[in-house]
Amino acid sequence: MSRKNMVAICLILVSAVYAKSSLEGNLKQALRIYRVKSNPKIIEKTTKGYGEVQEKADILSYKMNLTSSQHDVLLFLEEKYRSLGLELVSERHSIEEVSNESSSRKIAVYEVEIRFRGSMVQIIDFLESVRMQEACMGICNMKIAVDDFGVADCSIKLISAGNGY
Amino acid sequence: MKKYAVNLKKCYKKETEKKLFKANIALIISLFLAIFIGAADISAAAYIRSSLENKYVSVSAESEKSHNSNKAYIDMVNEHFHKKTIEKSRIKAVEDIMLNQAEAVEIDEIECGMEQFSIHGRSGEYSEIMKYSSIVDDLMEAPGDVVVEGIHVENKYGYEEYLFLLSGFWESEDSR
Repeated sequence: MSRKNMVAICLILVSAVYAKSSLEGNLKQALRIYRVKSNPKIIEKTTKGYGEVQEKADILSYKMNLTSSQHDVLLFLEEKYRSLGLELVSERHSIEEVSNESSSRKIAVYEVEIRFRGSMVQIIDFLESVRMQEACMGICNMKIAVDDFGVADCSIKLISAGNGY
Repeated sequence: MKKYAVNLKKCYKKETEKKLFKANIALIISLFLAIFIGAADISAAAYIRSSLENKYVSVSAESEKSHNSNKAYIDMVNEHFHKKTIEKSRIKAVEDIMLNQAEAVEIDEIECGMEQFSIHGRSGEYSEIMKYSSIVDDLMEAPGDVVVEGIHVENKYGYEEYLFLLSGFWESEDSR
């Protein structure tokens, strides 16, 4: 076999290998497009699903913007129990930053253990004021003890999640 | 003899020239073939790319990526916030219990967690505890699940007083 023939065979082999590897990817794409085009319902459904998830994430992100700063959360709580006339006994705070591999976004989880004294009605008012629809703030557990004079000693563990930056 | 040798040489030369010509043709054809395969593949890729931009095909890798990121975000908040907080309707039920104080029953302590709630209280009448238990049962989100866990009798100023403990489990998320 002459050198020229060897060169020719090598050329064909190289081009065949190149064509095989890139065509495989292209064909897969083409097949997907064909499937999607032949069944427009799939694409409608997927786009709708994607839209719903996007909307949910946007609402969540908006809600969490309201509780993004620990200071804001604490000032909000302070204002609430002060305006209701509850007597603060103690407060304990902790912050945890959470991030996920597949999401570039981070969230900050604040825990507030708060203990105060007051009447049942005041405590119920407080519970109602922190039960906000528009913010990610919730109660993890609570304990209300009432003494002989009708004064309630209430300890609540609140959790709020905010967008971490 | 010499004449024959010259003829043979001529013949041989002709033959090798013929072979060389064939080999060159084969080389040119294979070159064209290689170029053709490459060109066909590039044009196929270009066609697919152009049709990918078609408005029908919005499910591109980009939107899929952002979709996955959104999903991960929702899951993250769910895991670190929603799963750790008591549902609003349950807090409402506890508030109702705090407001709805039966006449013959005094509440000492109410505890409410993610899965369970309990009420410590006292009453002068045994039957009032049962009545109160059914009131709590009505108010709670877990009908039929409120149980009287224990009753303890205490003598206070010469009167008998019943200390009781009611408790119940919230219905799990799956069963609802």
